[in-house]
Amino acid sequence: VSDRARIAAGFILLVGAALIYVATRLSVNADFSAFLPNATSSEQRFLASELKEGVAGRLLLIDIANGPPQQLADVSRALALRLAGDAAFRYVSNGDANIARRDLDVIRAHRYVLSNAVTEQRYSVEGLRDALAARLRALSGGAGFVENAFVAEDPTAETLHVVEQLAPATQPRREFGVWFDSTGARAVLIAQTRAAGSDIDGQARSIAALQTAFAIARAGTMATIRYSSPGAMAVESRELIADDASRLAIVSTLLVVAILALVYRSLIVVLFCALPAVSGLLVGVAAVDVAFSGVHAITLGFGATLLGEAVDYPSYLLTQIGAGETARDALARIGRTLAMAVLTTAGASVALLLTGFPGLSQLGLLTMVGVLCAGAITAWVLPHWVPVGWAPKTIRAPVAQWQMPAARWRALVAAAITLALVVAAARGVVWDDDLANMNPLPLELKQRDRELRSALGAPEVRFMLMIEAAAQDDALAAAERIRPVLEDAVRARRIAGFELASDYLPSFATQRRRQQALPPPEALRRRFEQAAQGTPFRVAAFEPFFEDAARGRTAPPLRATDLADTALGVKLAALVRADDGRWYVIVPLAGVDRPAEIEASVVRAAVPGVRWVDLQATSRAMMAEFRQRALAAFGVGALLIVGIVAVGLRSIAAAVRIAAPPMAAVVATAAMLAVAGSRLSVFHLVALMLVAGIGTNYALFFARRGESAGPSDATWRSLAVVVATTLCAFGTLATSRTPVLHAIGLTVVLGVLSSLVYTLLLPSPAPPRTGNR
Amino acid sequence: MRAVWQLLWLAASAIGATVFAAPTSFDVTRLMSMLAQVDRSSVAFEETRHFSALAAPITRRGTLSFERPDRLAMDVVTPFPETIRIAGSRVSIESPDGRREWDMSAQPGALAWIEAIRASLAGDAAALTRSFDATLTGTEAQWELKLVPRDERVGATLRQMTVRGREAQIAAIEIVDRRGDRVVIALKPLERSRR
Repeated sequence: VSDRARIAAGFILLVGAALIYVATRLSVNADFSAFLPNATSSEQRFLASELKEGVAGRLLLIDIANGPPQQLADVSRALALRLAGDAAFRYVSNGDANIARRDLDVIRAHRYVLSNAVTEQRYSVEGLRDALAARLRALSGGAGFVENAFVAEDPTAETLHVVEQLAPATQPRREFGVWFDSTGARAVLIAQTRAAGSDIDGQARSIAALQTAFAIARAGTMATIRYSSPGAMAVESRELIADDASRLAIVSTLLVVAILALVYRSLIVVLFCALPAVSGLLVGVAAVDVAFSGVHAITLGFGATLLGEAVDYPSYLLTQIGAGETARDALARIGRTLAMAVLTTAGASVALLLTGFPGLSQLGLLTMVGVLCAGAITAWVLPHWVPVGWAPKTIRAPVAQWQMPAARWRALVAAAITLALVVAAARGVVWDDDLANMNPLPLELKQRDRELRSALGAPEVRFMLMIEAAAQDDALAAAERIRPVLEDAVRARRIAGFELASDYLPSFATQRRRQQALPPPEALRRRFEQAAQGTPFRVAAFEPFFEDAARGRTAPPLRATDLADTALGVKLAALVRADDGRWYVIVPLAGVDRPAEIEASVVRAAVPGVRWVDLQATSRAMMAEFRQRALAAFGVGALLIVGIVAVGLRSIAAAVRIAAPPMAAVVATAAMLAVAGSRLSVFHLVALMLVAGIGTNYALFFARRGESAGPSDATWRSLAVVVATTLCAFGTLATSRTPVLHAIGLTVVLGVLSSLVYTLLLPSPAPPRTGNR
Repeated sequence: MRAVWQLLWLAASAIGATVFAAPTSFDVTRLMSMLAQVDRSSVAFEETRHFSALAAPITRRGTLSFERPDRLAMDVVTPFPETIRIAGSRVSIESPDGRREWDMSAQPGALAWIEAIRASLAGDAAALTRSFDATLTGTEAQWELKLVPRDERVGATLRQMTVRGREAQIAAIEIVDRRGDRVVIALKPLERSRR
């Protein structure tokens, strides 16, 4: 058994092991925050953890349409009831008062610490007299029976006051007891999933539970449901993309197989073509999983794209086999070039690996391991397996008569590049720094999300205050101190409203102050007797009040755990977060008119730990940072390519000439995309990375010639096959209606065509002194 | 949540109908068919609220109207002007303090009240006996219909309702809550129209 055979056997074993590993141990996480930069500021950290774990990501907005309002209200109620009993959901609300019953119990039990009306003045003789006068009028009015139900235990009506104090400024309109949108045609609900928004599988299960619940709730009606949440959208876009991708994959596979079958005329050889890339993907994925304890779904998608280059490797080998030659003879001729093609891509991947972004690092490792494995299999395994005596069909393309272009051609090309650059620069390359676009959503999903948000009065928050403190209670106390500033801003109509965690859970100091405002039992009784004089109230009936007030005065403070599973608890969880030993309270601001002025007044108030946050600016800054790091990695990668080629060809000048066509192709492709009005995103960047890899290979193989002046027939055949297969595969992708697939497909098609043109037009380097062995 | 209680009261206050009837054997079904002949009616009411928190009762006066199938309106004159309207499960109160509106379909207990009263006014025996145990005593000349809720959710707030009448005319409705607080609504016919 030869060394080569042993190496081949070793690789087969490696791929087999990777296959078993991937099939049994692989853990794919769909948390796209892996593609965010490591947060450097606490705003960024907050934003990142909000995206991963936050309540916003768990909140499902639901609407029910297609039926008379009363029927929709019944379906809404039945659905809410089912979801409330479903373990996948933590909380559900459709405006129905029954569901709020538990909230009312909690408020009633803690009314003396929750009510901001509890002051010494209110529990003086005069204050109590005013309260009794108000109760008497209420008892005499249309809602008198309501008042009578609680007057004996709560004559100062603290419970009602808290309910009013906590009621959101704007609520959806109510029909037949439940929320409807402003037109009254759709019943609307909210539900909070137990699974985090970034847990796509958990979100998918929650959505399935929602659909099952709805199928039962709608029984006998024609009602239809729509829903939206960051999590649900991720689930849906994942399905849409997977659906689209697998459909297109079938089409492109058929096309590619057809081309290969035409050239190779052997089923077994066509199958060999898939072996290196598939093996590379398996081993690469396994390597990433081991190194990062899990593979990101986006890494998988992008990695599969980047390894598209590896599909070409067997073609370079197989198309070189001449009549009467073995695969090993062909390999002997192109081995060095193939090695450079593999090493340049692997080398450029190191730049990605070292960016420090979890997502980019994964991508770098996957690509590096993947192409090395694919290259090794192409070189060391395939030649053993190609049947002896097999050779590809001879192609005599008219282009084979091509003569190297004259210098004026090159000038023309340079002019064309310059022109493209000028046009692109004039328009400006528009970077898409919208964080939301990291999760590539079809437009219709975004539109539906907007509609549901406006129906539920749940606008996306852009401005907020962020309060940071060492303890939860300190953060809540700071929130209480900033309240007057926000109240002023509301009065001045510079903000429409705000949500303050301390309204749901006052700081211990505030709770203590309110408790101390309640008089001791004897004093309260005395004052109440005085206040009741001259009124029809019977003091004897108010024993429940004296008991509750005495208990409230000495009760242990209200804590977050007391609010669990209530609307108050849900709000609180959305507004308070612990991270790395620090506590954060966020204060979302609605309808901000002049942000700069509010920011100034917040700064003037100088409450320690309170910061102004513009989420949009924060997320844009994060995305811009991401993009800059990715571009820097690109630059380093390009240098690495030149360096590797320089070592391989032992000539820096030759390396620059090899690298020129792919780099020019990348620039031209970016320019064309910009001219077409595309906003360049990370997806385009990854596709351009592939273009650079593929383009480098074209240049390498095209420049590889023997003693003759021009490329051989075999080289033309190689180029024709790899270009045709790549164009088929990515051209199919470009027809996708999913923005991300379309972007990748279009970019690679433009890039491959540009690479080909530049490879043909730009001057090739002189043959390496040593030749190809 | 405020609405829960609100409704209880509204349901209790919204009453009234006058009816003529021809005598046959007298039972709940017979009484209902007598009452069922009224299409719409308008009566003067005097409502007395005996609340345990108060040493003296509160008295409200005004006009109460019923219109088939499900509309009730109460125009209060004293102690202060107020208009309460019930249509289906929707309740609104308009007073000098402003206008408020609720939908009661989410409150099975409270809704049972409204429907009990409406069923009495409309003479809908089936609806009435579905949610209440109804006991009729007396004669056509002077009868008393006692209604005890079957559903325990309703029973948690309402102990019993008593409707008293002479012939086909409801004279008074008494509502007793779980603590023994009592509201008596006395009705005096102003206008009626028969089907």
